[in-house]
Amino acid sequence: MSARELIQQLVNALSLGSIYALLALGLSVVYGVMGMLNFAFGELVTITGYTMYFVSGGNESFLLMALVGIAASTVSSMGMELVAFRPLRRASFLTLLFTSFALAQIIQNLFRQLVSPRPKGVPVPDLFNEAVTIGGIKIGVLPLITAGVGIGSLLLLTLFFRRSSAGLAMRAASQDFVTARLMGIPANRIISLAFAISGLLAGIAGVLWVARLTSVSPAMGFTPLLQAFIASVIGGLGSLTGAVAGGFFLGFLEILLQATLPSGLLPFAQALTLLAIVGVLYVRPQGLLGRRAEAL
Amino acid sequence: MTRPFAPGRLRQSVAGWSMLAVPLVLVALLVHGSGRPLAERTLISFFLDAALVVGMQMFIGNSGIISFGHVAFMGVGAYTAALVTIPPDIKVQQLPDVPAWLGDLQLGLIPAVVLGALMAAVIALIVGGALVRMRESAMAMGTLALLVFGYSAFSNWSSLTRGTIGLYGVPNNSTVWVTLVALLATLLLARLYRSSRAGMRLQASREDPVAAAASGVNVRMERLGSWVLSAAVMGAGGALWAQSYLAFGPDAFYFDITFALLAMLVIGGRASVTGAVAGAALITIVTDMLTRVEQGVSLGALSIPAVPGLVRFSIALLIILALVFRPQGLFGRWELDDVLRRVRAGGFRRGAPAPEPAEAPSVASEPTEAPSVAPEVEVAAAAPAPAARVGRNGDGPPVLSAEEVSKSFEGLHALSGVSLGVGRGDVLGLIGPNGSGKTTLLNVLSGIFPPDAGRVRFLGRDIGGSTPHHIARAGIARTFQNIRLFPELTVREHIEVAAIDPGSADVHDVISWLGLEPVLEELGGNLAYGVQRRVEIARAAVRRPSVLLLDEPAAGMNEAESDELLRDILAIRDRLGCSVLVVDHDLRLIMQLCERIHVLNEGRTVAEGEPREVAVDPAVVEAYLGTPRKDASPPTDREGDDAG
Amino acid sequence: MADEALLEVADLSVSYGAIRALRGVSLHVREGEIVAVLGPNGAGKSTLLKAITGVVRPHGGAIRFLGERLDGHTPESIVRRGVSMVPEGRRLFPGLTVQENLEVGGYTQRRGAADTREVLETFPILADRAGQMAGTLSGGEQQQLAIARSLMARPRLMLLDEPSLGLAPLIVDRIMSLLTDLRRRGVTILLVEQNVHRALEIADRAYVLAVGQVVMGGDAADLARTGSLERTYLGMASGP
Repeated sequence: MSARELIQQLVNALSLGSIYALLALGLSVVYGVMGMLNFAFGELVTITGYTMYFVSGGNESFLLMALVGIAASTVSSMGMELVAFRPLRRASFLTLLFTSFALAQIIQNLFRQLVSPRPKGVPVPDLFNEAVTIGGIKIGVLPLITAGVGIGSLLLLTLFFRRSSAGLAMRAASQDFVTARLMGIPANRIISLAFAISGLLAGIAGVLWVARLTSVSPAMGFTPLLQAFIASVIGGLGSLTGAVAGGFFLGFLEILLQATLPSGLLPFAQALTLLAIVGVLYVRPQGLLGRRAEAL
Repeated sequence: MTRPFAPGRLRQSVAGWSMLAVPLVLVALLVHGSGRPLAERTLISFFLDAALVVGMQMFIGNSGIISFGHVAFMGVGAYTAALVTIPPDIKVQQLPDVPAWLGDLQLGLIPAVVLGALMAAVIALIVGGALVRMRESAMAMGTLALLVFGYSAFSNWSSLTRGTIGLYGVPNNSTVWVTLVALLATLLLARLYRSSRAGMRLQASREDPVAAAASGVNVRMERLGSWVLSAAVMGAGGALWAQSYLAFGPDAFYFDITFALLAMLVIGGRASVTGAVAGAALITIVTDMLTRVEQGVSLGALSIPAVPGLVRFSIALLIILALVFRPQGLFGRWELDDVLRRVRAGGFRRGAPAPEPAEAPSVASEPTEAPSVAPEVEVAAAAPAPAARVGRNGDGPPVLSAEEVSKSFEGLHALSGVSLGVGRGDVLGLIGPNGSGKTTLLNVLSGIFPPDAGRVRFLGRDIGGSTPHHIARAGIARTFQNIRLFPELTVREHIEVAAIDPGSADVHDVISWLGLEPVLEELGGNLAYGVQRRVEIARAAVRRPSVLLLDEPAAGMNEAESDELLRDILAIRDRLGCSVLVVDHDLRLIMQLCERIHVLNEGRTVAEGEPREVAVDPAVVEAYLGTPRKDASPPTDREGDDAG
Repeated sequence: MADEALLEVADLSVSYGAIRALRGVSLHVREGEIVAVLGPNGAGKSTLLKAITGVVRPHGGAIRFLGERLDGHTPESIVRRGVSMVPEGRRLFPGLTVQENLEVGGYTQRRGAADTREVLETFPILADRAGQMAGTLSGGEQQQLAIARSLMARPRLMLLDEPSLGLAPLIVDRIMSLLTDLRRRGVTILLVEQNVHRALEIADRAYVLAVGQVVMGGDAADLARTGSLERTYLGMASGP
């Protein structure tokens, strides 16, 4: 691979990786604070997408569509928590998983019935299809913007976590929820905040996702969900930095496979990615940055 | 050597199975006799779904691990069956690149089903090896990956599967009778597995993997075995399914069916076979009714418009309602025969009905392991009065010993160079204030942690770093400070999981000494505190271990209770011929019970010897009460450093 | 007013499922006192503190602070009323720095980065390590941090669960004199301890718990003198 191609693929990897990192972080934030894996997380991306579709009536600016979509996702996430998960706060991991699973089905079917089972196109600016030349290398605009927005969001979020008192409270709560309450950190508010952040991240990732796909469909949330899961588990469930690391790892791995696999094997790229992941977990069951569990 | 079923369980499961089988046969006869093809189709669909759900139940219900990927095995079975049953001419039309030997092949129903099951089992074995090594939450994700992997393979391996278009032309071999027989066979297999000792061991690991390992359960192996078995069932089910639906593509083995099957399992009850079938029945009926409403129906004067998606919504809603109000599902862990027996046994007794033992307990059975020392005390029918402490130390090398063992956790030195030895027939007490390292030492001896330094020897062998279940099988049994019973298993089932030979006389003796006969059919989670403690001890003692490690057996007991405990422990030591290491804070009990006492403080040994000596040892008094600052002895090497 | 109890526990009963951890425990703490709660393991001392701070719910009896009921309220609201806890084993936030741990402690008072300086003046060792991860501190430093963190909430009543656990005797000295210092500054202290002698040295009064009940109570000096303490602990005699 030439240096030129390498740079291009690097941008692609950063672009894909940052989407996965956003998704993984969105999932982990709730897991860290509540100990639950939210199966309906993927539907937040679907909600973002369909909101953008609805808003795109006339010549609406993409930015407006994006902002409304992100807002919808954030509100939906908080709504989910209030309606479906708060009554089940003390339930077992499995019960919460199933409940979120059922909720995901409900949302998916809502879109299937109320809109259409078929994909719907979402207009994206022509700009996204172009390429710029930097230092003599042609790089796609969309990957650049995606990488920029993605990494920028992650940096802003890091700032939030490290500098604000709410962010500090959340970090404390995800490390030791009971002791955080003993320090006076309000349980309900922190959990709501976690879901809000989760929705925000899903929204940003959703916008970037739709920008690539240029269409929305009722089942579109499953792949983002799966990638978020995989990235979180690789990075180490419960670790926020792990989630981000896992997301980039997954993104790089996928681009690597796409770039190096012979064309006959390309359809199996996703399957092979999964195989690689399973391999990693076989050797290191707690993930890259996770802690060792009790010996069995 | 060990029997696959505990006494009475085989008969119980066959009897229970027949209770489910009879109504199913009747329904089949009724529907077939009525001559309504639509109803028959629905029935076949129900039989197939039920068989698939039961297949999933065999893994998910017994192991407690959620699997999203079982449908992939169903797909493997379906595609395998399709490839070997589609007539060659149609096959070659769809799959021009298929190898000649496969293209010419056309097999019948049974070979297709067997092949489907085999293929699924082989793949399950390969995948399962990696899966069971993962943590539980990662395992759930792994099964999700399996689902996607399967879908991807089915969609992309076009030369064999015709990709997303799918295959057609599978002969309709799955009649009502075929599917009925298949379902009955699956139910029998599932019931037998559930009541078998392997199945119970897996259920123990579902309840508490650590306690299960300490009772000798090889958790990974049991999970793997169940995984492969249930995958085979899914493969067979898929093969039958293919020969009923006749045409399908990869979409048939993806999310929708996974959700539907899981819904049936969750609503009906994960932990019982009856629950799985009941869930399938309920969802089938609901789906059937609502499908008509979905398409618009008129009830007399009322005309209800079509509501597309109603079925899916309703099922999702049903799941959520079930989880909120009855998280264990309709049947919970009870099989149909359990429920009927409860009612017959006289109303609402809490607890599970007993299996009727088919044979009398074997009285003079040969013990499967030779006792480590010939009992010198006369065997009494009831628990003997506390024997005078018969000193047996000095009878050769210690059975179990720790040599200069050290263990640290993230900078905290829990143990520093501790050495102790439990001799044949000893009752050794291990005491020390909170944080002194007693439980850590016990954990190192039982294999939960490997020592950082030093050795652990058992019967001369170095066992430091061995896994807990290996150590348990070698002959060390233990109880836990925080009581780790199996909440959803009965006391009898606890014994059956742990004991090497559940029918033996020793096991019956332990049960009667500890007064557990009245509670044998009670669930572990429903027991009173004192009874829980005794069950913990019984579970360890019935393994006829060489060494019994008791972690705070007297915690929370009053004086009368701990006196009884003292008698029980001595009886166990005398009759079963094991050595005992007791950790406890009840020093009155320890002083009376133990021949020797070992005192730890801050991870080090501070005293060792006979109770009388230890009780007045100033180091011991200081360890428990601390010293007033003014009277402190000159700093030893413990003090003066900033170690935490 | 000075005689009215700051904290009053009346006939408190707490169970964990089938286990009765506390059976009708009554005690009180007056303002400005250091009261010690002693007793062998499994006696229910930690459960008592968990009930006061709202982590577990009692099924009988009442807990009053400044006359108002505490039982039934959430842990976060109890902190706001002025009851702060230093948990057993410190329970610091391992992924946060010393400074950040303190800030979390000050959450209810909205004390941010600037205000931690005041507390750090009392703990010069911590001031040196303000940017270090809490998990890397030594045991003694961690204990000090846990206490400092609790102080950030400006508590009227501080609860400590076995602060001397796992610490070398010289460090225990320091912690104990720190507590005496705090009392001088107006913080009332309820201290659960297993290091009986040290606890009795700094306490005004003490209670002894065994098997979920109060078996002894009185002035610390009196308790330290009689030999009955040893008997309770070393089991030469049984309960009351």
